Amino acid sequence: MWSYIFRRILYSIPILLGVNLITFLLFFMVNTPDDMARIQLGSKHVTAEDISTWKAQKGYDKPLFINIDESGVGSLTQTIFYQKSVPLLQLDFGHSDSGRNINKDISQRMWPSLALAVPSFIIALITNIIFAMWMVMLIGTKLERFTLIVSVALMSVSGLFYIIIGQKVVAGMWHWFPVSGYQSGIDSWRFIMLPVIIGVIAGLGAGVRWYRSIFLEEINKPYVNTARAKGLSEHQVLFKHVLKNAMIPILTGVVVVIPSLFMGSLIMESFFSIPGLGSYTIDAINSQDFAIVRAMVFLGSVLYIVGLLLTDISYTLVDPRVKFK
Amino acid sequence: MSFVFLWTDVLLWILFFISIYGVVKVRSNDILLQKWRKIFSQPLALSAFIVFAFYIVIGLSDSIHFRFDKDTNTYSVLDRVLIDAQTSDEKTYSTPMNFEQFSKEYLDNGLRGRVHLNLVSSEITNSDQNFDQILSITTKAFFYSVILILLLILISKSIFSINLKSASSKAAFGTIFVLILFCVWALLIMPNHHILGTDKAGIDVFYKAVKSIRTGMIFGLLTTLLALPPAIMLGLMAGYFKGKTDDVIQYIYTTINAIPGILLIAALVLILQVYMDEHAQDYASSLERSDLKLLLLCVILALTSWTGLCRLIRAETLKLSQLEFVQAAKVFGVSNMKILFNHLLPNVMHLVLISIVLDFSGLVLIEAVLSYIGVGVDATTMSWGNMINAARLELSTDPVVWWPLASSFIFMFILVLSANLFADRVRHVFDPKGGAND
Repeated sequence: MWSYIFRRILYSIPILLGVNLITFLLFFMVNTPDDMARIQLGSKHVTAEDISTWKAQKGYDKPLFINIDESGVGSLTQTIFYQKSVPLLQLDFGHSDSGRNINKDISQRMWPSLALAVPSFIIALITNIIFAMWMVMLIGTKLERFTLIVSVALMSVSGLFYIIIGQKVVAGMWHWFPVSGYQSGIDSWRFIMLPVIIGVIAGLGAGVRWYRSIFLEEINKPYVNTARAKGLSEHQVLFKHVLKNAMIPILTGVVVVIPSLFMGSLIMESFFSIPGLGSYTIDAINSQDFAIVRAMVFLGSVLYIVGLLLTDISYTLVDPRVKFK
Repeated sequence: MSFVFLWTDVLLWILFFISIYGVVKVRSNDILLQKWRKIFSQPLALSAFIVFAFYIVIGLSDSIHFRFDKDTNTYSVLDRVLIDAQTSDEKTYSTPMNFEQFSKEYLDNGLRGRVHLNLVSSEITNSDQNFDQILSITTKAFFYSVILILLLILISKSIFSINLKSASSKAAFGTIFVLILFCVWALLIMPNHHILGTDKAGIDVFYKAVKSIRTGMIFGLLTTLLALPPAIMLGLMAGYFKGKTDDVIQYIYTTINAIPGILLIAALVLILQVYMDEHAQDYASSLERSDLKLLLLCVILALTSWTGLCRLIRAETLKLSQLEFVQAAKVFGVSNMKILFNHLLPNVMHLVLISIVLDFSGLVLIEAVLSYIGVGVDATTMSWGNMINAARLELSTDPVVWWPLASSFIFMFILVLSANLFADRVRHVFDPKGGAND
């Protein structure tokens, strides 16, 4: 098994290199360092000298891929590509365009993000599965058709609606929770509660339908007939047999997103002013800080690849039929 | 008068003609015809489709642009239909169907103190009169629509000999009646009232919400249209040629998939914004610039969204290429290109169709999110996302200005709901797995 994991890790290296190349092309070829300097320096009356000093300060004054002034290895290493993308592979994100240390920012801001994302994720998972099981129990009744339409309707409402109305009504009018903000430590639950609830409700429609389709696929399999034939009650069939077997497809869909919980939620965090990585990214987008956006894109890709890896491993752990190839 | 061709207009009409061609094709194919009949035999799906088609008609009518001589403004057909909503110049907010302004102001002489000023477009002075007028127009609209729907029923019965007693035709005519009633009522009431009130700058909210339909349609349809060619081509090739080709294509889509979608979109849009700002002088008018930005946004979304369909098509092609008919074609010496397009492509078209209808609603919804993050459509383009974005601050005023927000959410909800209901049915009929489930 270890050799399998090792091979999977090897396989993800070219993908990481590809991501690195794509982000580099995006951020430095389409958008030249001169453009970036002009954005960061702001005013329209920037002289050529201002731009070149800015570029020298930030390390953008080298050629993109090949430095003809240097000899040997230096011709490859003394370039923007090498200088800017090799540290990324070591998860060293350097400094933002406005001069902040990105690694330090990330290590500070990941905690509020996790405080919001982890409870949202777990509660949503449990709620969705419970509702989906309930809908499976209703099969064939009028109520089932009604719940299906309700779930389509829930899915059709813009996520922004849930957030805006929830914030306005629950926090703004009823004062159950603070409207926005964050406090670290034990008090954080007051600020986290409302975004978590809204997040769960916003994802309910789509989530329930997804789990329901998984359960329905299981319920048509022969072992369910066997279980019914030997006289088990419908509850026993559903909870002891179907739920256990459905865990395999559920797991594969769920494990892949777990590492990405680090990144936080862009929308939720900025609506509720939670100082996590999501709002960090949004701020960077709004101030056009390319160094931060690039770091977050890369971090997100790494986490996704870790998620794929975990999925494969967990798959082999829960399903004995899957062999390591 | 001269016509103005915007990029998105042209593409939207191309898409329209492609679908007309598709309908013609389906009519000559018995199996497909049966499937489509089955889709429309469910009353709910039929109603959803009619509502969806109504949105499409509005979107298309907003995609014919022209310019009058000696006039710098560009109009669409829809603009001319809604001319009453467009021309009345209000100063500020007013609630839906009201005859007064929302906020109080001092009259010039100050004798009457602070009062709600009358709206420019309204000649009514008190609420009883207002109510009477609305009631009389509504009755009139109801009367006209009953006549129209009866005519329609008569025509469809005598010419197309449609069975009026079936559940789906009842649902269809019910939906059509509601839509006709709404149109007639809106057209009659527009000269004197702002149906959904006015916004901060005094612009009719109903007009804005209706104009946003086109943006939503373009997001939902053009993106998929642009994503289809790479998804189909690469998916078929990966599944058919296998080996090295498959490895390369899989590598490409895994890499693109690895980058978090919304961040990739944000990054691309940021870069696009910088580029367009630098080259601002290249565009003839602000309309053309915002239109190009809309199109490029769709391209960006397509770049990130073709991977899902590509993976599906690859898996299906892998299965298909093992089957006898493909093997036989190979033995007969049919060229690879012909096998790909004549034998394999028709057999993965159901996946394409399902993914078009399923992706549509998600794309319409994501437009609002993108506008909120600040990487959405141009600020001058009317879109639900821009409306929601502008309306967020209005919610904190007292009393609350709720109607711009509510209008955009409702317009979006109806479109997405009808698309979702229809998509469910299409998947149910076309997907062999979906069909077994329900």
